[in-house]
Amino acid sequence: MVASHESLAIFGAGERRDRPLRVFVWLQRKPVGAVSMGIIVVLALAAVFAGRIAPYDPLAQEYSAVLEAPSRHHVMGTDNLGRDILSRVIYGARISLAVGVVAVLIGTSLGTTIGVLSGFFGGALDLIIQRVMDAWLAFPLIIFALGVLAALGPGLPQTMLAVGVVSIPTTSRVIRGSVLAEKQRVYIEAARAIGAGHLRIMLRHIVPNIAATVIVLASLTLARAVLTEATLSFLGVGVPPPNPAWGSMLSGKARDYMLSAPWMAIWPGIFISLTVLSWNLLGDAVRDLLDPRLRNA
Amino acid sequence: MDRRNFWTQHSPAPVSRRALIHRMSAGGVGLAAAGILGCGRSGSGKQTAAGASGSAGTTLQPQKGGYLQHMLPYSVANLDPATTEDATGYGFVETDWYDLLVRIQYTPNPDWRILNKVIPSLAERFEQVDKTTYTFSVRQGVKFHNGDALSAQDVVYSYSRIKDPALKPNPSVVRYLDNIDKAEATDPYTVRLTTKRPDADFLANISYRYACIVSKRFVENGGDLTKTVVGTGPFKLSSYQRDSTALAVRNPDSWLPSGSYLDGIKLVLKVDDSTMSAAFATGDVDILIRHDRKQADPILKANPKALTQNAPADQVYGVTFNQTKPPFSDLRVRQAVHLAIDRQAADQATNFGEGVICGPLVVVGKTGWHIPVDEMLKLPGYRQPKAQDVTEAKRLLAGAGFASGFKTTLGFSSATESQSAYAEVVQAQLKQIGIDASLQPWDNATYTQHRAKPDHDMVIVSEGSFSSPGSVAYASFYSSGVFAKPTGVNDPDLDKLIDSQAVEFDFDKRGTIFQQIERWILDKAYKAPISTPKLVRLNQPWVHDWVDSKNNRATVMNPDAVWMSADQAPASRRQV
Repeated sequence: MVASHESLAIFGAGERRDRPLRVFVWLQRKPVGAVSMGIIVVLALAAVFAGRIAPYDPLAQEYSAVLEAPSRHHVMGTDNLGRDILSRVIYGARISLAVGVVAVLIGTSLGTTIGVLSGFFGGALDLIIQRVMDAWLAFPLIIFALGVLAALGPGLPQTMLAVGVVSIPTTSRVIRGSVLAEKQRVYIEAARAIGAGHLRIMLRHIVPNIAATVIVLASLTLARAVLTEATLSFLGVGVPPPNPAWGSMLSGKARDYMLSAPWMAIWPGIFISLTVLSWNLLGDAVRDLLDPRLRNA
Repeated sequence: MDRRNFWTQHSPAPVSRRALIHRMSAGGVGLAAAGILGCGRSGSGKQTAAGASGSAGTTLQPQKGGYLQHMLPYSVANLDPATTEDATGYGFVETDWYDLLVRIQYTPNPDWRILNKVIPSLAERFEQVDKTTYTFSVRQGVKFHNGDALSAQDVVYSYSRIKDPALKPNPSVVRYLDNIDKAEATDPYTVRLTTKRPDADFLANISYRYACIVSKRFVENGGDLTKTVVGTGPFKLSSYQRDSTALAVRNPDSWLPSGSYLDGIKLVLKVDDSTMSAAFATGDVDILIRHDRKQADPILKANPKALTQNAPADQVYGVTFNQTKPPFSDLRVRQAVHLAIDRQAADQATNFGEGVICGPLVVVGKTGWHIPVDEMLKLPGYRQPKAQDVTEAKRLLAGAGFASGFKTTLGFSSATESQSAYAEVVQAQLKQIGIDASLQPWDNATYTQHRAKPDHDMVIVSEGSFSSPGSVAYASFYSSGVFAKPTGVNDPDLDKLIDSQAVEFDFDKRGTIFQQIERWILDKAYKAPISTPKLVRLNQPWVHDWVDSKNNRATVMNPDAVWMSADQAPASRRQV
């Protein structure tokens, strides 16, 4: 992936009057990306306004309505404790997106910092950092997250931290590569020639020029974060019950009653798939948009 | 009738990544839509037309032949019966390949747990000499699978090795054999066991699958029981591939007069629960236990010829407390929790109203040993409607200084069937009296560790017993019990009651003592019992006389007695 000066035209270097037109053109050219963005916006709004949208309290148990099939009263059915699945899915969006966003903030900020330092300074620092990242990457992502949660215990903040931490090495690697390419450019040499220090060069010149890379990476990382959180909750080590995390909704009783009440597993499964797919496709679309070689592909 | 010796009287595509994702998502959405539209009905499959188990009262004659197909959701790395992780699992290591000195008489009907009758096994005779001494005449001519001859020394060795800390025996094994003070071979075929204290359950405890007899010579010659099976059981180990399959074949040298009926047992390991259900529906597995009717109905709908039987599980779900520190050191707080729990609603949630509301120790069904049901349902905590109990619970909390409630934790084993459901129900019910309990899921090993330490607040337990409530009483309510001691249960009067049942060998009188124990536990709120699920047992119509362990696992307690109708069984059962 190549980040270029031209890509900044979308975000800020172009005429402000032209920006809505550019976005409209982009939407037309990348309908899948547009749809994905729409889905993400809807999910985000559902997460934010869950209290207003959800028809029931996601934790309210109604024992006279256990394992009810989808109906007028419970659009997505109920689970083994009579809880409304639609309400739990809506509140689950809150958990998934919260974990995703915080994990991306942790992973992207730390990964970018490490990648920029490693790529910019090179030498012994780069060698040490990259060997550490190699060792880190040797661990399967889930195993590493499990290890973090084993140390911290289950819970929402702990899950955010675990999911965020596992994305640091991949982010740093990609960013390092971008920094290595950028620091060879003439404008960096020019900045050095006029006396700019390392910090100024990194913050004022390199980081803005790799912003597109960071943005695309963030969207892809968020998709992975949502899936990781779902996996950890499925395994019973993520967000503890009775919180309506999509992954934990898929495990346990949903599997026991797969034959008699498949809606318990189907709906959270659909939403996990939809969310992960949307973020991936959005990331792809943004990448195509920012990479001049792929923009017209 | 000699009332001093109770036991002598009574005994299982070039396509781009983008295009691929697009096509797969379209297909996935279509499949999901079809699934939702096609599944818009409640899971209310009907029971099999056969109704009761075909094993019950069958007039068919047992036939030799056939391989039982058995699936398990896990695998074991260790085949040593004293240390295997299978001790807390299905128990296939112990039941298929090993024998015991004495055993329980496992009958399909009536429920074997009612009498828990002990009968001879590797000991052809046994006698209780006095309250703490038993002698056993070891059967002569019995050979281990490797040809070693069985003697009294093997029995002594088998019991003694469990006391060796270097062996690291499974705590479940130790718990049942802990009362053995001394094991001696008084001659080549006579064993004398001396217990630390009189215990009416002693013979039953050594009759459970944990007290397997192994070959002393094999181990002392360097044999590794963790990798090899050398027992005297009705089957020999033919092959074992961890996480894959195992095969037990008929032991041709079995001491049983007619040997086993089955040619063998084919085990498929590490099978997901839903896969097992599907496999039973298609006839690929012969025996299955499901937790409730909702899980069993779709299977029976797909396999209407399968036979079923319902029975209460061998455990009482409930809540116990860490009484070493506030707030649960206060009786009023524990009583408030007990009162707040709506047992009927909990049963509706966890077993669709088909479970059994129980006292704290003895599963309802062992009549005379538990508080009578009609009396129990009028007690505080059990009575309906709940408004009175909830009001009283709030009053007790206020008196204890918690008028606004308090925050606490409720731990449970995420690996034990239904504990999470019970935990969520209890959490919701405690909220109405102001107790905000956050749930703490633990894996099995961590759960057991937490129970044995005073580092938790409340915990969901699934113990209590139909067959042997005495051992549960000692573990969970006796002052020095493995679970009672660390959680501050220290009640000398209750200890006396528990000791008195251990030395009472009259069935009815012992039952009366257990009723007193139950009332005492409820008065002191050492446990807030909830209910016992009624499990649904399923077997294929060609399988007969299978006796299960009455818990959530399809253990084969009597592998030597199970048999198959060759004409009904599919061809796959006639060959390995």
